[in-house]
Amino acid sequence: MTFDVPNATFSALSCHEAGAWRLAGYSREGHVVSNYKLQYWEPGNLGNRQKNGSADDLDAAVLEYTKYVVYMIELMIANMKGAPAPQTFVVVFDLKGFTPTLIFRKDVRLMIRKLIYVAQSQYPERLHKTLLVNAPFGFESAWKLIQPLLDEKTASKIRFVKVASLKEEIDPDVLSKEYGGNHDEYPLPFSVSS
Amino acid sequence: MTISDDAVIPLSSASSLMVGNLKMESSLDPVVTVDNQDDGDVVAELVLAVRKAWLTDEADSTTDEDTDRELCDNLLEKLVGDRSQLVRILMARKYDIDACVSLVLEQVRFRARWKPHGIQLEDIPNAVPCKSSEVKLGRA
Repeated sequence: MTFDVPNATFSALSCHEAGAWRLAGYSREGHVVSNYKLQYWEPGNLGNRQKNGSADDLDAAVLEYTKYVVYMIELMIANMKGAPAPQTFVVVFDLKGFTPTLIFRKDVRLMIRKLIYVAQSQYPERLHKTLLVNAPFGFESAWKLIQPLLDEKTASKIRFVKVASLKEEIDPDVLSKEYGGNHDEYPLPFSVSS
Repeated sequence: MTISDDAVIPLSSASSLMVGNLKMESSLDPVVTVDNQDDGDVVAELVLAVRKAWLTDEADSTTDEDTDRELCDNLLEKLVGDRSQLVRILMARKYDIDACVSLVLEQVRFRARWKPHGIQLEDIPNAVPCKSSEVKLGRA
């Protein structure tokens, strides 16, 4: 399928497994869709290459993650179709690979706070929905820690869904095969030309 | 703020599915957002309030010494000229002008510090570990 992504080009590099977050087409209603795969998120690799467990390592990791979040949201905005198409996005957040210990890491907690802060305060009303899929047993405890960080409006846009339900939001020809659609896995965002 | 479970995960019907104690929606009900809302004079009111607050902020400027004032001035002008963004801020802060002003100024400082349009893939080499030296984030 040829998918229309204005002003964007995508990597043909075989680095699918390396990044966690990628653009993944448009929803049935025209929202930009992105797919965040927790299994490919490696917070321990962010920031300084050589780590010594210092506060500087932590700062550098959170700083890179913050830039990553900003970059990805800007990428989604840059790929929104013009009005009257919705100027909001949908995130399919795949929790596969979640381990309960993740949430107890200081760096992860700081990154989650940054993600929420950036999304809520710097890009308000840009999120249409976050669809959480593949929630494993044990995620409930993590969710109880995350939930209070969200404002009411943002929280109301986050839903746990079955993978099969994604087709209600995203056409099968756009939805990745791993979620029951017909589309090959989307590559990482590589560039958006001006 | 604490929020009820109902607010986070709407309980739709008996067909809601469970994984552990997490409610899962079997049907994706539409989330209400407004992309094009007629906000009349409230945007103009916000712009005036922002400008007033910015002048006061300039006079008392003791915060964010790292950020360049001229850059912030430019970012502020850009932001107050972006009606859609102002409407989003108004909606996010439930049309509380004081809260909106605060958020506008916060966004100005954030953009001055992080320069969202200037972030390149080489700035996030571990987050997106692909080869890219010439990649720029453009605007549609």
